[in-house]
Amino acid sequence: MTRFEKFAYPAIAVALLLAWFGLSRGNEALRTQAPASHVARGAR
Amino acid sequence: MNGRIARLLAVGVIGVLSAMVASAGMARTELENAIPVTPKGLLALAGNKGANVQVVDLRKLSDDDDDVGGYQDARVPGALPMPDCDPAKVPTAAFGRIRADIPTVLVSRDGDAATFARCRTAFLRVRNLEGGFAAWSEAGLPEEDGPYVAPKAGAGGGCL
Repeated sequence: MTRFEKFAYPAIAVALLLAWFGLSRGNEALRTQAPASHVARGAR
Repeated sequence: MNGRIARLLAVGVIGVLSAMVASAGMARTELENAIPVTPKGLLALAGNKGANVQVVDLRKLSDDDDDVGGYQDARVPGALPMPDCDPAKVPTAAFGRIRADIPTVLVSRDGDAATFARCRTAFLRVRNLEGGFAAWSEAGLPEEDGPYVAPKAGAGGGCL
């Protein structure tokens, strides 16, 4: 791996992890407002 | 660790994380679509230029038998007509102005879930107006009437 890759791959992974974390938290908040049928579907 | 293996491992991890983000993003869209927007919420969206929301009215163009009336009797300002969610019934002036790719709020007579479910597949990001036009009218929010008139060039599309 090049020096650039040693920096870039972890940076991309952390960015993706943060994006996933943010989306997941947002989805949890939205599930409290969504009709029950959609909450059940999202939980499966 | 061998550089090649490390690279493959990193790409694999990024691939898995990308899939997780995509999945959460799709779940977000689905959840957003499931939550109806209140009349006041729609009015707030109208005031937010960045929201770029199109309002599509699914009622008949005119309905004298119904106390709520049809599209031409009273409607959400800027709403585009699409009677019965049938593209073939869109008036000529509005033809081609309804877009599937921008956030959309569907207006029916009373926010009927079945009507919304039937029409939602025509749009990528779509929400139902809670209580339909009856609720909008009841809330005393601004209305317009008459046949749809396409905005002049440079005046924006059918968006609020």
